[in-house]
Amino acid sequence: MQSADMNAELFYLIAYMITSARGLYDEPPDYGTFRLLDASGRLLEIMQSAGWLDPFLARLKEEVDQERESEMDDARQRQRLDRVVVEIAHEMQQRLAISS
Amino acid sequence: MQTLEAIFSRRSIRSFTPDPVSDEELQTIIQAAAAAPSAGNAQMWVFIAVRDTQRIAALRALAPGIIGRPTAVVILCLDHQRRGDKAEGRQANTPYYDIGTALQNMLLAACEMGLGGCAVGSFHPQGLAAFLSLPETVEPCLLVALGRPKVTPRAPRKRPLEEMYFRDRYEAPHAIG
Repeated sequence: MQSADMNAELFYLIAYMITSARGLYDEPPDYGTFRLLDASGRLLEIMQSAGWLDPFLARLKEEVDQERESEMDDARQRQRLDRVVVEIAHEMQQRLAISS
Repeated sequence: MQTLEAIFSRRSIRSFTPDPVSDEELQTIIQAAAAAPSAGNAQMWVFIAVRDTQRIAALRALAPGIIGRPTAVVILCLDHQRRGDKAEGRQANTPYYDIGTALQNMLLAACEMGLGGCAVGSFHPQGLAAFLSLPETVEPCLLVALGRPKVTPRAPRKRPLEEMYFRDRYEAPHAIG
């Protein structure tokens, strides 16, 4: 990805997050969860285009994409997010162990 | 595809392939929208179709409800200058109902053509109006994200008909059965 493209993609992501911040005053609380997931997905897409996804982040992107593409289902989403957060915690633990 | 088949098989599509929606397809979808009924045949609607990738990227930022990367987006607006008489009270809402009928025509036409679409109500109206150079009399009401489906979701859970369909008179749902 060219630097100008990356700049544009990041600009749109920031614009998306600020627009979402305003929109959430008027929207159902559940939408907040989805907006954060969608923002994560959009950032992961930018990282993928830049070649910055390691295997863990690539797997994380798949999880996020699956959730973004599915029909809305609170119970399933909570369950998936619980599992993913635990996986992220283990990954952080490993990364810290490697770097220390 | 028969009408009822399109109605029952249509899904809200939020994941699209990169293949573009053609000008011809888009025109047919807009024609279907414009064929919808409107109160007093006022046809206050205005449709703005966007296919340019960069402009869609900007729309995705101003309309957080756009999920995935659609290859076309249509903004459904009302031109309040077209309102002939001054409707008041409940009647003042009819142009918004008309937007709903146009929307459904669009989604069904897209479905019939093998395209997918999703109605989007989450957007920043003032930001969108500024980006699209809308005059003050033109109000953005809804967006439709369009493209070729990459993933078709399962049918969402629907309330049983007994909860919404009554014969002759209203019955409280808890009294049924």
